[in-house]
Amino acid sequence: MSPLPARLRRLHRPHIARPHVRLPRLPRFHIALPHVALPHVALPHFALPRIAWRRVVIRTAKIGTLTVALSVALGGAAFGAVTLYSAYGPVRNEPNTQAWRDLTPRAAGALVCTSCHASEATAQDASIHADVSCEDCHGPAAAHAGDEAAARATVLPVPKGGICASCHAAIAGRPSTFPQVDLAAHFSGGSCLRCHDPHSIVAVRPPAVTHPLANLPECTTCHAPGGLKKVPSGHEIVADAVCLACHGHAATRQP
Amino acid sequence: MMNEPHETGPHDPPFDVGVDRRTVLKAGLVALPGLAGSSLLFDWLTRLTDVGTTPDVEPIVSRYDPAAHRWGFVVDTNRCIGCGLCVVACKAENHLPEDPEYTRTWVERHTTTAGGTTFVDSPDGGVDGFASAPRVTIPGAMITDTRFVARLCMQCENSPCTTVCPVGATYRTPDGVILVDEERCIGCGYCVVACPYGARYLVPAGGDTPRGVPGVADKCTFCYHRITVGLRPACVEACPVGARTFGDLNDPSSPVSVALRENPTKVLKAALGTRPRVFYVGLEGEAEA
Repeated sequence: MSPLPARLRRLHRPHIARPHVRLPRLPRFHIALPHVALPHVALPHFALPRIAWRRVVIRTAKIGTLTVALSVALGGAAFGAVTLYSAYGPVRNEPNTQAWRDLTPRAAGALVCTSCHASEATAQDASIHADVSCEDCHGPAAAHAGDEAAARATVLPVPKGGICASCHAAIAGRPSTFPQVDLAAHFSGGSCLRCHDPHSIVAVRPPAVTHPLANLPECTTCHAPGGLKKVPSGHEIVADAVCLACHGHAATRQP
Repeated sequence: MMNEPHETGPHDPPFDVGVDRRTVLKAGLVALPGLAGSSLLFDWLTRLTDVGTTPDVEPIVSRYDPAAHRWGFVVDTNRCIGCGLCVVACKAENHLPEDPEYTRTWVERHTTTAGGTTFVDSPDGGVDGFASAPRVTIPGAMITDTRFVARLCMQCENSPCTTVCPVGATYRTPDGVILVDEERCIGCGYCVVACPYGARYLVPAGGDTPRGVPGVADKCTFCYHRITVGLRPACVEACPVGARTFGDLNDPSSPVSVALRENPTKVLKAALGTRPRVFYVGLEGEAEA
């Protein structure tokens, strides 16, 4: 252990008690404020003497506590005012949600139709159209199926055969597995419903011609009003080439 | 006197504020039940004065709990035939305006060429069907894929429309459907331009309106009046080929949950981070829009 240098050894005197230098602690509160004669000049607040400044702090703290208490009370009241279902509350949209919920459905669903229109429903359920909604062709039926007798008496629109084309016309983009027809090539003689039952969808084939066709004039020579052979009622005269599209021999006629 | 050391106890407050601990605690004991009581009182008062908007009658079906559901939608583009019956059904169900420009759902035909470009055509939203040939503006381009894509509001979990609405008129219900409050909507159209999917429009005057109020924003609600009473949305009912599937994502046996499990799906514009609740089957081949 090396001895301390002489100048430090002189200072290092542990056996001599150091004089207890204790700075006077300033009284912090409960003080009798001395009547300090302040100069009569306008001083900024930070220029106040420390004693006066402490007084300001105490007063501020008192006022602050009161303010906090008041704000808590008023804030609570305000929170209550805007709570829950009030106009600006957190669930203010609830009445509107309820209003959306209260709208009346117009589409009834297939089950509703089936309860009255059993025969059509049975035919359709057995067909390839089993999953097609009645309302796709007949329009929304909730009012018609409702409790109002007057509404039940209304007749839903009976669709034209052209509605078939909206699904079955051959257009680009349809899945290749989906049955599509080139309308012009398939049948040009009028409505689809002429052959296809609207609910079972099965094409009812018209009677095929049984007599030979060779060396015969046009169909309408005989099969015409006033001709030798009768035309079935409800069947207008179509162009000759069209007749065989439906009435041709089973082996040759078009699908 | 000033310089005398002033001994303070260890538990003395740093300064005297004139309010002791006991007073503060007492005030707290009084204030907390007061707060709870005042909110209950105001709740009761608002319920009492709010007779018009919250009906007392029970719904036909059992009480609907929105928090118990998480509605989702799956569109299968492998099945869609582009017939437009969904658009027709939606218009009828929701009293939408006649003009095909104003629609909540529509059908697009996406034609992808060998170069990877996807062309979209949707004449009148597909309400009257499509032309037999797709519209491709590159002459002689080889078409690799053509399919129909049904569109509707994505009911985004992170929805730009609710974010931008300046009056809080459009909001998300707990079951995940975004609705528009027609009493708050000011018709500014900000949500219409904010929607990355073009699902919104402003209801025109003079014609059918969903809620009888023109000039407000409108969009697909998943047929909220139907799904909350146990029915399916009108477009799902109408679809003849089952290309639209609707159900509760919380229910593992619901049609959407099954469809999501059994098919690879994607959402539109996933990069925007909107987290749609409408999922698409069969769009894997398309470049991200």
